[in-house]
Formats: sequence, structure tokens, C-alpha cells
Amino acid sequence: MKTLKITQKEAGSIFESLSQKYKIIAPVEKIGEGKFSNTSLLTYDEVKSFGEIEFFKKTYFSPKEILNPIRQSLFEFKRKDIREICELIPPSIVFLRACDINAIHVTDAHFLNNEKFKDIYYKRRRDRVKLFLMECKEPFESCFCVSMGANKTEDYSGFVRKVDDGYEIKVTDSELENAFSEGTPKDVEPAFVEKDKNPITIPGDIEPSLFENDIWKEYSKRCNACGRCNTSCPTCTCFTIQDIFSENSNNAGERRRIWSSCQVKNFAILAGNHDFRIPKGDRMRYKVLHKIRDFRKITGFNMCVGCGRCDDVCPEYISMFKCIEKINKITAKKKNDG
Amino acid sequence: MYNTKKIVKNAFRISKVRGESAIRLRIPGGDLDARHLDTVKKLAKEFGNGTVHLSIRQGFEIPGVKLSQIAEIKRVMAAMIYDIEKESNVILDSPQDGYPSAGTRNISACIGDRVCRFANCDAPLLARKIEEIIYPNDYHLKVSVTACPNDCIKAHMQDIGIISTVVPDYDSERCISCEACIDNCCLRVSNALHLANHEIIRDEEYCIKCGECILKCPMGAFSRGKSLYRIIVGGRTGKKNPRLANTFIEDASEEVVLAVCKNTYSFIHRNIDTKLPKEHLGYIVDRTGFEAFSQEVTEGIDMNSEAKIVKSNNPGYFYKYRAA
Repeated sequence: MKTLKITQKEAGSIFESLSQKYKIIAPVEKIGEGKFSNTSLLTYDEVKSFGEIEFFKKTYFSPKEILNPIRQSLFEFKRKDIREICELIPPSIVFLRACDINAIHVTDAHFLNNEKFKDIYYKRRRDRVKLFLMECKEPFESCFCVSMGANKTEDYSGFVRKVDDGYEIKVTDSELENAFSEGTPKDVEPAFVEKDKNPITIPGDIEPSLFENDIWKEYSKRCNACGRCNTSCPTCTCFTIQDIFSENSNNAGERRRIWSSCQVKNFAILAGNHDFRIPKGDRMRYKVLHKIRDFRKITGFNMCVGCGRCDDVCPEYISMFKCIEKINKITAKKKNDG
Repeated sequence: MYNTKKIVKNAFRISKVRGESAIRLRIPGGDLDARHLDTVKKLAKEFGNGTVHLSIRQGFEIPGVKLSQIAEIKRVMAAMIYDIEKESNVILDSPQDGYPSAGTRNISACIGDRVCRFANCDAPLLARKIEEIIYPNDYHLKVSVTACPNDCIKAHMQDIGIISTVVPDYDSERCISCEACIDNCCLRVSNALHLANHEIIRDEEYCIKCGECILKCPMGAFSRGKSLYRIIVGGRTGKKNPRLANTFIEDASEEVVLAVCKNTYSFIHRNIDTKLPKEHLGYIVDRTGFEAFSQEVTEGIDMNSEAKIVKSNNPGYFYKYRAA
């Protein structure tokens, strides 16, 4: 382990030496690239210096596409011949907040720590990614990571704090220590947010009777099924399958997986065009209960990390946080009623 | 006693009430620093009847003022009109004399991307840039800027209407085939999108570059490309031959928009029938023919590569006119 303070100048050469071996991916603000006119897009992208990194604002999209590409080729087929596609990403360093690191633990649980099946496509990427922690001095307005228990982490190869005249750094990964050959030794420990702006209790036992509760009806009216809550969520990893046929061929092509969203149309379509989850409130229920109930039943921890992105991006101002509060009230009342 | 021609050119009205007038304030782009409201209030309370009328062109009209007090009114409003015009880089040489002209009407604009989610540009800002180019001018011309093809400012009713558009750039690598863009384009716009091999195909022939697909995409697969404008001309209301404006130049750059506005004045100057007290642009174009208009107005303009000049042939409709 190594802790140090580096100047802007030293940061330049340290970045240089890190980037010789690693692709460095971090939050960036892309001016003018927001969906609305004259707005910027906060998202993840490769950076070419520490200076490009946006340390203080929350991204619109989560970093999940680094490990779960939006479109990922799985194999090529020609009649009965199948050739697996093995695409290797360059070794990468990704800058993440504590919630997003905890979100990766959630996707690890889906794809790696699943007893029955390990997802090799995920694993190939995961093995080549090192996590760098960024801290949150203050919680953002919509965050509830403390309530979700996702505000802290010790799982990082390095920690970088931007200060006025440079950066404070803690390196825990011995493979990376050599790159940090400049700077002055200084004690550096990341600070974590200890209190949410709006703390909530996460309901313990949620009975299936909640499925029929009227609270979901409101969402049928409000939600427009755009799917932004899913696409921005760091732990939503549902995908669907697409077969892309080669030109002039019905038996050769490529199979890929592609992000899906439980809020958009066709997600629950079965053979024969049966859609078993049409009301948007039902879709909301499915999503919310997966995040705070069903996943926990399997893994012992919650899927939602309280990053608040779904609240930030919803055009209808639907709030996951408020929904959990409502569920809380109902379950608490049930308990009291005994 | 009063020279009505001078008063009207000075942007004051001749009221139906003998001896009365109304003050007309120009507010380019409909965008006003709230501090000026103090002066507006003072004018209405001290000189007018205490009311303010919001005109369709986004100006203020202050009714019930006395023609005899115009000189004093102009002194009170001088600093305000100077400041408002200065925001558009129009410097009034003698603001104490009021507005130098009233023929070219206030450039109106929707609120644009200062608020609206559909907006493709800062419409009030473009209105100010147009104001800088065409004001002051005595020729009667109505110009409006709207930030998307919803046309909330009714650019289709103007001599020159500017509709802001955007080229949607599509990155298939970010597309999840959710079809939100397709469904919306089919329902609300021109059905210019379809899916082929799980990817979105945008048909240029039908796309009106409104930018809705960019707004609907939950992935940012559609993003904002080049910012362009549709210039529509010949819209008008009136007692003879009302009609909606038609496309004149598709996919014009901002520079082309400004140049077209400027050149329109030379066209009017060359072709206006001076026997009439005033002649609206649309009637002049009807007389010269659209081709002559198109040729004269685009002359010397360095067109951006995307720009396409189209023919306009919307006759509008005529009220029944009794033959002489």
C-alpha cells in the first residue's frame, strides 16, 4: 500500500505511465451532448488525463456498459457450426463511487457467483478491470446509498481525491504501485458519506400481498414506459437475444445479446404474443421488488445500491426512493396491525 | 396639430379615442429583463389607463396615453428602449426621440431551449441576432423564430418564419431496439423511422429533423447532430388572401438565415409598389413570382452544403371578391 500527494505536474507523468498499460475510464462531462439542446451529458468514457475526469458530479448513465456492453456478440453460426466470439477488452482502470463499486458486486453475484452458471463473457471483462474509488464529500440530492448499505467499500485498487493543487492518492494494488513513483508521502484515507439527505428504512419482510396493493396503480398512470430507469441503473443487467443473419443467408449469422428493460414494451412477451405484464404499475412493481426483495432472497443483500440515477433520469419524476417509502409504510402498518 | 404619419412611424398608435394613443414597446425575442417592468408600470400608471396589453408579436402596448404627452413619454422610456435594443446590438442614436421606425415588426420567438425540452435552439437569442440585422427599418415585415417544428410561435403565419431543426445522429452500438423512437415518430411526427435487422433506419425523405427521436431514446443512441433551420416564407393573415408560409430553404445554417433576412430587404426595396401606403412581402412575391424572389434573395449568399432551396406554390385562400 502507498499513500501520497501529487502535484498537477506529477499527475501528468503518473497518468502517462498508468495509461501505458491501462485504458482509463472515468466520469466525464460532454458539453453540448445532452439530449436537450445546449445541455451536457455526464457519462463514462475513456480519459487521456486526470484533468478530464469529472470528480464532483454524478453521471447520467452508470458505468455498467464497461462490463456489460450494450450489444455483445456471443457466437457466430453457420448451419450447425458454432464459433464462440472471444472479445478481450484492454486492461482497464475504472473510476467509481462507492455505490457503483457495490453495484459491481451485484452484477458479480448475477454473472460470476452464481452456482449453476458462470458467465464467461462477463468474466473475461471483469478480470481485466481494476476499480479506482472516487469519494463523495456530500451525498447528492437523490442518493440513498447509506440507507441501502452501499455507501462504503474496501474493494478498490486505488483511490484518487482531487484537491486544489493536485491529487491525494491511495494505492492498494501492488501491481500499480510502480506507476505512482512520484509525489510526496501523505496519509490518505477515503471518506464515505455517512448520512443520506433523505434517509429511508428498507422494508424487511415484504409479503406477496403487496403485489395486489393499490400503490402500483398510480404508476400505471404516471409511467410512460421509456425505460430510462433501467438503462441508467448500475445493477439492471437484463438482456435479450438477437440473431443477425448474414446477407442472403437464413442459416448463417451472429447471435448477440443486447440490453433489455423491464419497463419497455415487449419485455414480457411470450410465444404467441402473450404479454403478461402490460400495466406499467405492474412493471414498476416487478422492478422495485426485484431491487429490494427478490434478489435479496437469493443473495442475502439488496440489489439497489441507492445511487438515485433512476430518480434523476425519470422524465415523469417517478421516484424509487418515494416508492420504497410507500412500501415501508404499508409493511410497517401490517406489522402494527399484527 | 398632430402628424399621424410621423406618430405611427415613431411606433405610437392612433387610437379610436380622439387625442389618444398607445405606446408600443419592442421586445426582440419576447425576452425581457424584469427590471424594465418598473418602467412599463410607470408608463401605464402615469400616462396610460393603468393597463398593459400583451400583443401577439410579444410587444407591450400601453393604451390610453395622450397624444399631447408623447414627448414626455419618450423621455421616460428612452433609457429602457435604448437598453432593450442594445441587448440586440442595435444602438439607437437618439432614444429620447423614441423608436426610429415601426415598419419592421418586433421579432417574436418561442422560449426555446431556455426552458422547453423540445427546443433545438435558443430562439430568443436568434431573434435578437435577426433584430441586429434588420432593425431599424421602415419596410413592413414580420419575422418569427421557433425552436422546433411544433411551431408554437406560429412562424407559419409570418412573412419569414425560422424553424430550428437538428440532425439526429444515430449510433447503432448504443441502440437497444426498444422502438421508442419509431413508435413516437409514427404517432407524433412523420413515421420516418423503421427497424431493419434490429437497427433504426431513418428515411431522409420523410424526416423533418424535429429531434423527437433524440428525446425519446433512453440510451442516447440518437444524439444531437448539426443544428439547422427551415426558412419558411409568405405566411400572412389579412383581409384578402390569408395563407400559411411554405418552405423556402431547407437545412439552412444560421449564417444563411441571417443573410436571407438581410437580402429580403433589398428585394423589397427593388420591387415594392411605392404607390401603395405599404405592401406586404407576400404580395410583392406574388407579383414578382416566387422564382424571382428566390433568385434575388439567395444571390451572393454562400449556402451551407446541406441547404436546399425549394419551390413554394401555396396560394393560400381568397375571400370572395366582388368583380368590379
